[in-house]
Amino acid sequence: MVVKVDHLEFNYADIRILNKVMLDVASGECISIIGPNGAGKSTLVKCIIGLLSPQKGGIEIDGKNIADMKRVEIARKVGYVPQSQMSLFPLKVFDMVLLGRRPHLSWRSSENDLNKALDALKVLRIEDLAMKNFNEISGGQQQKVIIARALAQETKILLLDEPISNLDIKHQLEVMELIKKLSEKYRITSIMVVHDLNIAARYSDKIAMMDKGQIVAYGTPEQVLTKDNILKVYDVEVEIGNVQERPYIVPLKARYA
Amino acid sequence: MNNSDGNLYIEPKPSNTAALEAYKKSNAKKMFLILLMIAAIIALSTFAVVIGPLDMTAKDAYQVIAHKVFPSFFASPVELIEGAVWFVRIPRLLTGLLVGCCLAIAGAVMQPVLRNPMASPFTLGISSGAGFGAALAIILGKSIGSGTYFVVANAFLFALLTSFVIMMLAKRKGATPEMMILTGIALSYFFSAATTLMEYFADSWAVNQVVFWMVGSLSKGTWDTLKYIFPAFLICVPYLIYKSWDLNSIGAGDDAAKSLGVNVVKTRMSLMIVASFVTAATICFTGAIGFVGLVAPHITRMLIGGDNRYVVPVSGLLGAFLLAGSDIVAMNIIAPVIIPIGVMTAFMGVPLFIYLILKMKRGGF
Repeated sequence: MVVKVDHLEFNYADIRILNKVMLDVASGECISIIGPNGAGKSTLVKCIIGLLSPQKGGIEIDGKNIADMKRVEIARKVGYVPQSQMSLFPLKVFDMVLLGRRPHLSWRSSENDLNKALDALKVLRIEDLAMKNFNEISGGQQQKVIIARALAQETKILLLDEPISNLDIKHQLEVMELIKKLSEKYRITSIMVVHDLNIAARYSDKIAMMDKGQIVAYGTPEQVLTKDNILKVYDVEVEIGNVQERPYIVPLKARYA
Repeated sequence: MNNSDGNLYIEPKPSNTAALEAYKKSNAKKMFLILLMIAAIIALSTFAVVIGPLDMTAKDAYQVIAHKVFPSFFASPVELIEGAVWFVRIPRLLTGLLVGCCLAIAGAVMQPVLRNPMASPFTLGISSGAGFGAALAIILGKSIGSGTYFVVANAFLFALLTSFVIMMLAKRKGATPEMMILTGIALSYFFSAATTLMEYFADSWAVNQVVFWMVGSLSKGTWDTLKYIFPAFLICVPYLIYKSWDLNSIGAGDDAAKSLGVNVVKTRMSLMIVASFVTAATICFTGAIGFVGLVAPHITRMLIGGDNRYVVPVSGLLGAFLLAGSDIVAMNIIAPVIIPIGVMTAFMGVPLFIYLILKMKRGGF
């Protein structure tokens, strides 16, 4: 397993956010974490990248416990796309993407680093933004820049916290296709938090459904996205169809509404 | 593009390198600006040494320097000129350049580290601490130093003490920027209040001395004081420039920086300690020259954008130029009266700063 989460427990003060979470992710898999607000999805992702330290349980990356790894060692293995990105003194887009090379160098960027940043910009098709200030571009473009930064980091694992939340439908599909391609073609493992159940159904190899700090269902989209599971976790009645051999969810009504 | 196992995952597309070319061109412009500023500082320095009541040329001034550095190769200049240039003007000029550079770089580092555009060595109470230390020595006659360094040593101690308290409190609470800024502001008020209390009960001569110290002056810059300022500059400034890549990461947010392999808490603490130290080591000799540390980094960002690998050194050069330039004006505008340098930097810097805010597009080239 490339990522192994074992009996993870995490509390904020006295409130339990994650409760005995178990998750095994194989190399090259594309995993979506879904669940209602406050289920603990982002907290789980932050624990996996080592931004938060769990009180109990462990996380292994490539068979090594992250508690025993230096931060730069984790950064060489796991790229992270945060939910939002602040920038008080904005960098140029090119510099922002170049930051992805930080785990591989100490000070100056080499020609090789510059080329890799350029390649990442090209993959996201945002070369024309290279010399713009990060705060002058749209939210969706900013999201792409951050994904480009994670690509420039060249890691085997990508963690994405709501990577398409700011994007319009075309760019949502573009980014998801890219993530899928990375996993299928180059065995990049991606673990992402998504809210859109249909996007999760369409692009994920497996889905982890979370509720109240626990993973309540984990498996293929067909196994996880059932009427019962969705009603239990989201309090929403749905109809489930099938489009391009994937489940397609049509929400009908919220329970208690 | 390779992942860590060496597998290609992004197809190389060598055709379009326009973005890379534009990026390199922009960096070349920044390097050119650095060279231009160094040339401007050399020109300004020559002017600073030559201008004054004594009649001399640039050649005379350079002859003094050449004679002092290589005594056996260059003839001895006129004694009066040698005395004025070597023992008064050059130490004063070097003090201005070094202090301006150090304060501007400390500000350029503190602003992204604390994620606050108002952050500077002065917002954090370091100058109020130094002022309190100076007042303690001047009014109450209590100091850890003696002789020439009676006031200086106390100012240095209390400037460092302020930073130390901020660091210790911040360490307990995880060193968040908000925590550091708020503690700094609180300490700044505390030391100002304590200084005012001392002034309230002090005689008018002592109050005068404290006020004179607070507004700052380069007149105390001698070869002796440079023996302390120069090593502080030589150790701290290269370190802060070296860390500017990490500063870019921290500026992108703590979570982003951590995910890029930066130990954020440790880096934030070490940058703050070094920036505070270099501030303390310089302002203890000159008094509170505040504005340069706040404004030079902002002017720099307006000119060249936010990449700290350039912002830090360019701010340093700009700070050096502003302070040394202000000193020339301060000494000559209504000579023989010398306007306090702290007042002059604000008078010259504020209009420039406001002009840039109104006129310039953020981001520069």
